[in-house]
Amino acid sequence: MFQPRKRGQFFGADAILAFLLVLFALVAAGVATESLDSQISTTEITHRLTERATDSLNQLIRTPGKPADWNLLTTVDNTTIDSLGLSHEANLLDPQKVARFFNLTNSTDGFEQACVLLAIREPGYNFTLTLTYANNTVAYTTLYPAPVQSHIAASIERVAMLNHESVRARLTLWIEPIQ
Amino acid sequence: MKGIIFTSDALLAILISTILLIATAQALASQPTSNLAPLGLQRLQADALAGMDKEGVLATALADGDTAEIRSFLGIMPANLCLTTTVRNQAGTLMLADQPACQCTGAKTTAQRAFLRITSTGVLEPYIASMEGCFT
Repeated sequence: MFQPRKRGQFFGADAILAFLLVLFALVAAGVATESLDSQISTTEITHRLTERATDSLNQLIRTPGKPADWNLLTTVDNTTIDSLGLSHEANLLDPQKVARFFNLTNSTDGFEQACVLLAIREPGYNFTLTLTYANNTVAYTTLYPAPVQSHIAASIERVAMLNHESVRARLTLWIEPIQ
Repeated sequence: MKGIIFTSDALLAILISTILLIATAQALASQPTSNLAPLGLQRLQADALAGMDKEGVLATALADGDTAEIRSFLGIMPANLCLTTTVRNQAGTLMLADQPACQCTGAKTTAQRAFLRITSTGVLEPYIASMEGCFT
């Protein structure tokens, strides 16, 4: 006569071990995917910041701006000028434009306007522009200090001439961390 | 006692998996995290050549046959760069070379710029300045 087995196979030691192994593999795969997603996202944002910083610094040190005499205007905002530029010739910075730019960016409103004119418009985006002489003396720097390491940031460095002296122009673009 | 994980097949599988994981991790770690560094270096080199041209540093160095002014100008560049500057005339003859004693650790990039120099007789002579650079 047929005798049904009392012992359930599912709960055998082999099955439990196999189940645990599969579970471990699934959790490990989930953690790895999460980490990879986060890394890809950070890389993408950093790449976007680098691209933006490269374009903005290029615009500043290689173009005179539009209109070319924007530094003489009483009001500097996106209604009076089309683009900001600090040079009178590629890589030769105009001292008056440089002084006006840093004067403008040393107020919160002026800084916001500079962001708009440099096409740094995304919420939470900030920038720091620093001009440094060869002896490491800072000639000019913008209102907000360079970010701490926890921020996602991109820095671009170029060389230009200011008053017949070579200067390093360093533009750091960063995103404020979400609170 | 019946064991699953300790059979020779399972041990072999674990061994192979471990080797594959280590090999993958090592291969990933050896990949450069960014390909933008050489591009940034090349931009810096182009900036330096443009600055030296526009400030007359290249023409002066050529006239004096001395690279001291070039070296002084390059003081603005980051310290972890190794930069070699050469100037050739239209025929390709080497006229000037500034070669610091430094060792490269990465790939080299080159930027070039053509410039004109007015000779003492008032003739415009074209030259090509090249700057080869790398990270130390």
